Amino acid sequence: MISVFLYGICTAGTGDLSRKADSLFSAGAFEHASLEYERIVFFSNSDSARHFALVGKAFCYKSLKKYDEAYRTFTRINTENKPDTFAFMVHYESALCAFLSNSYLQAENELAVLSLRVKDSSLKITALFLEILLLTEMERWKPAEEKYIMYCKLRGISPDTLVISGSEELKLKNRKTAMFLSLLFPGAGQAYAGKPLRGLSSLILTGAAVTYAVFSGMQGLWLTTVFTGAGFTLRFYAGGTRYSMRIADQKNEKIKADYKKSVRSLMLSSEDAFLKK
Amino acid sequence: MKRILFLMPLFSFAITFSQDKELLFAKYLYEKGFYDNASLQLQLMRRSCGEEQVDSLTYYSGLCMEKMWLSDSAISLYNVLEPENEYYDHSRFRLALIFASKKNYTGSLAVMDSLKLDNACNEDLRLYFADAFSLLSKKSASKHAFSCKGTFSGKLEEYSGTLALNKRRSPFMGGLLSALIPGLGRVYAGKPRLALSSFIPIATFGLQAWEGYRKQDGFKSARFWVFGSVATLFYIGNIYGSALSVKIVKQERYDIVENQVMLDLRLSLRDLYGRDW
Repeated sequence: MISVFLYGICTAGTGDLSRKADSLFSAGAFEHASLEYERIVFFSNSDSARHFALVGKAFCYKSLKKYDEAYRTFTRINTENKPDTFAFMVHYESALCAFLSNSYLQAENELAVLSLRVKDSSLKITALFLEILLLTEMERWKPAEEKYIMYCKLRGISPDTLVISGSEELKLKNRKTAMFLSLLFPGAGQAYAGKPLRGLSSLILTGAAVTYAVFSGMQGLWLTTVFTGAGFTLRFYAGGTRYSMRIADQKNEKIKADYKKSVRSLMLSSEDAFLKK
Repeated sequence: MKRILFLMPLFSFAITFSQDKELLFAKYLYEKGFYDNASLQLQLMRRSCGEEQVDSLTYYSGLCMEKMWLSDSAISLYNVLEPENEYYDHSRFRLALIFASKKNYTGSLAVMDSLKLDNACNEDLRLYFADAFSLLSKKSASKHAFSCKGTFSGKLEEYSGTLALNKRRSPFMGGLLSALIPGLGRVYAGKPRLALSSFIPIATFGLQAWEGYRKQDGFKSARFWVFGSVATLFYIGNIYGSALSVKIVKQERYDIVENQVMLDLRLSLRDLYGRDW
């Protein structure tokens, strides 16, 4: 009776622990639930119980929007020799949490492992949606376009021109062009980069400095011509060139951010529409 | 009745065994770096454990708070510990380090002064800590006598020497030197390249003011007044900037010594007490 009693204490309640953790999760007490799931990982002798507990803990962190912690928890799960559905869920959620925490390389790695490990092609379709978003965020437009075409074919929808060749119409500004234009004519680079008023002010300032240098030289004030006149001219001229490159970069960032936002909205609405069907 | 009396030792063994397992689990969480989980686990244990265990659990909770950079919570937990507890001495050292990390050296010294130790090694460490905090709080080493002996005193003398050299640099002297020769104060501060950037604008505007005075209408020249005013502004700024440079360089050198001292204190504590948990 004593040995039965002691055995009971030693092995009591992986099942009880699971129920406790699950009920805490359902009640929204995610911090406490994550502790209970880790308790199962520590006390349980069963690999599968540990893996399911880690999944539960990762979902706790996901619910708390601690996506980097959720990703780290998912990576603790070994999916080798596991059923396709389980392996897919783990790697997909891991990639999703990495994506949500802006760790795009890690998300890409997880999706690569998913495509190697999961043989069931019907599951891989779900990952396409995340792949397209990820490739768009990483500014790999062509691969994103190819995945999008595949996605539309599998979902039976016609591709939107936003993604198909949409990236080619992005009209990004070339920073070297902005630089050369500013070198040729002060203010031209800024105007090309989309800030004509800044270009005009650069032209006025550079012109004023040159005029001052010329007039000072005509009056025989050589120190003023060199230090103030030439000095400020060079400052405004070189500064304007650098500034035009910076404006071009800022403009490009805005164009790309708007494009990425449009692609995200499009993909979310497509996936929503499909799920409602 | 006899059966109940027979089973009571078994029940108390079961409870103790269960508490030991819980503590082992808490230690596992701490070692894995799941400090939020460990903190919650210890909190739950404190609610249900016996009085003899509360102090130890409080100490471990304090460790978790430290790891999570919640120093105020760690301070309140360490302050609760009774002198009879086995972790009391260690917690006092940790408390002093927390105060020192918040630059509250008075608090650190008060903790060390109130600590009574029987062991000679611990007493030497206490004196080392007190001497180190005293050195850091004065930011100088003028006529400082160290109470600690052994290997610790050599290190403190070295830091004391560094701080003594640092003390000799005076912001007033930096300002005065820059007033005599623009930029010289920055050379004194140990920033010779900044000296050039101080000197050049004063020289260029000063020369232009002189040119305006010489080639135009003397004191009636507008150029003289405009460039002279600008040169004067730069000159005043140069004096202020040099004094500030000396102050900043002094602080940077003090910060290096402070970081080194804090690191040495932590390593010494680890050498004496071993691992935190």
